[in-house]
Amino acid sequence: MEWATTATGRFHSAVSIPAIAYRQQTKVIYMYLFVSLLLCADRWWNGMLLSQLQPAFFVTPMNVTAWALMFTGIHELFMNNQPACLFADLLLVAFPVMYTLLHIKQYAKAKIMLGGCMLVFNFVYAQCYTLYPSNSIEGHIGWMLFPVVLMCHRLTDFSFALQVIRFVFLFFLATAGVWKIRNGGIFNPGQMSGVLLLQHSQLLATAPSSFLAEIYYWLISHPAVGYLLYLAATLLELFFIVGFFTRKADRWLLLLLFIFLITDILVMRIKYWEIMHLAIPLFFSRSDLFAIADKTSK
Amino acid sequence: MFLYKLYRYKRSLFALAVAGCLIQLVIFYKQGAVATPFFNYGMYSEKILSKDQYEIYKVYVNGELLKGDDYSIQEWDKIYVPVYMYYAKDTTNELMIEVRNRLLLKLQLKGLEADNRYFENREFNDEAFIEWYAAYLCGFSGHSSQNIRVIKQNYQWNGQQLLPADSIVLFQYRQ
Repeated sequence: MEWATTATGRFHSAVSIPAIAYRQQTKVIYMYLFVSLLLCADRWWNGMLLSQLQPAFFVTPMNVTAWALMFTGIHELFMNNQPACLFADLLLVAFPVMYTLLHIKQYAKAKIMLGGCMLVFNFVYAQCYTLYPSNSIEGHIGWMLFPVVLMCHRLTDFSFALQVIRFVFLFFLATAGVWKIRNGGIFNPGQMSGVLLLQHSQLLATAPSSFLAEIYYWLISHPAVGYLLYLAATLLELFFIVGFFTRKADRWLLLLLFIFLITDILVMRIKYWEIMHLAIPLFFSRSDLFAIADKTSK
Repeated sequence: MFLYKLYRYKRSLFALAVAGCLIQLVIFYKQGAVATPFFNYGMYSEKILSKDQYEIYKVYVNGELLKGDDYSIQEWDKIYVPVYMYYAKDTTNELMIEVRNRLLLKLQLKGLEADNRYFENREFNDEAFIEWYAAYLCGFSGHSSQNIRVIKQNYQWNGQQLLPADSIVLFQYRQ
C-alpha cells in the first residue's frame, strides 16, 4: 500500500497529494460559488442589482481606470436600458454556476477561458455599477480579483493565485489601519464624534428621536467612548499585518473579519460583505493546496 | 518570502507581482486619484472634526418625511444618494474632466482632451431626473408617487444635537 505524507502532517493511503489538493481546489470553487450566490441574493433582497438600480445618470470618479473605461462609452450601455442591466445581472449569477459545472466536468481549457471572461466582466460590471448611484468601488475588489484564481487550472498556479488573493485581503484591512496613523485620524480624540456626525447626519436629522439616533448621539457626546471604538477598529485592522508573516493565525483573522463586518454595520451602517471573496483563501490556508506552492518553489 | 517563491516558480508572474506592488506604491504616493484595482483604503483615516453645519437632503412623500430608521441601510442609501449625486454630477464631472486632461497632457496623449462624449450626461436634465426619481423611489419604497418634495436643509451642530436652519426646495413632483 502506498502512503503519502501531506503538508498538514496527515497520512492518506494510496492517495497522492495532488489528488487531495484537487479535492481542496474543488472545495474552494464551491465556496466561491456559495459566496457569489449569497452576495447576489443579498443584492437582490436589498434592491441593489444593476437592474434594480435602474441607472439613468453617472458621476465620474477620481479613478484613472474608470476614465479609460469611460472613453469606450460602455457605461452608457446600461443607462435607461433595462434589458442590458438584466442581462448583466444574469451573467453575474450564471458565471459562477457555469464555472463550477466546468470544473466538475474537468473541462480545463473552457474553465480558463471562462475565468478570463469573468475577470473582464466582473471588472466592467463593478466599474460601471459604481459610476451610478450605488456604493463605492473598493468594496467590489473581491468580485474583480478572484477570477484570477479561476483562470488557473494547474494546481500550482491555483495555489499561487490563492495566496495572492490572501495578500490582497490582508493588504485591504492592514493598510486601512496604517492610513489611520499616516493621516492622523488616530491622533484626534474627537475623531469618532466627527465621523459619526458625518456618516449619520441624514439619519440624525430625519429621525432624531429614533433608537439608532439616540445611540449615535450618545457616542457623539461621549468622545472618549467613541475614540476607544475608533482605536479598537484601528488595532483590529493593524492586527491583519500578522497575516503577512504567518498563516497560523488565519482562523483568528477570519474571526476578526466577522467582528469588523458586523461592527461596521452596527456602528457605521456600512455593509462590507462584498469583500467576502477575498477571505476565501483564509479558510484553506492550512491545507495542502497552499503547501503546493511552498513545495514547488523549494 | 512569497515574492521569492514566486520568483523561483515563474519569472513572468514575479514580474507581474512586482509591477502590481510598484503601481500600488505610486497610488500610495499620489493619494487622491486611484486606478482600479489599486486603491487606498482610507476608511475615515483623515482627521475629521465636528462641523458647525451639515447639509441634509430631506425627501417628503405625500407630505410625510422619509426617516432614516424606517429603512434598511441600502434602502436609505437608495433614497438620498441619487439626490445628492444628481446635484453634484455636473460639478464633479467637469472637475474630473479637468484632472483627466492634466493627466493626458502629462502622458502626451493629445487629441483625447476634447473627447467628452461619454463624460457628461447633460441630456439628463432636472425634468428627466425628477421623473426618473419618482418612479425609482416608488418602485422600491412602496409609496405611491402622488406628491414628492425634496429639500436641502442646513443643520447647525450645537455640540449636542443637529438643529434645523435655512432650507431650499430642490424640486416638487406632482403626478
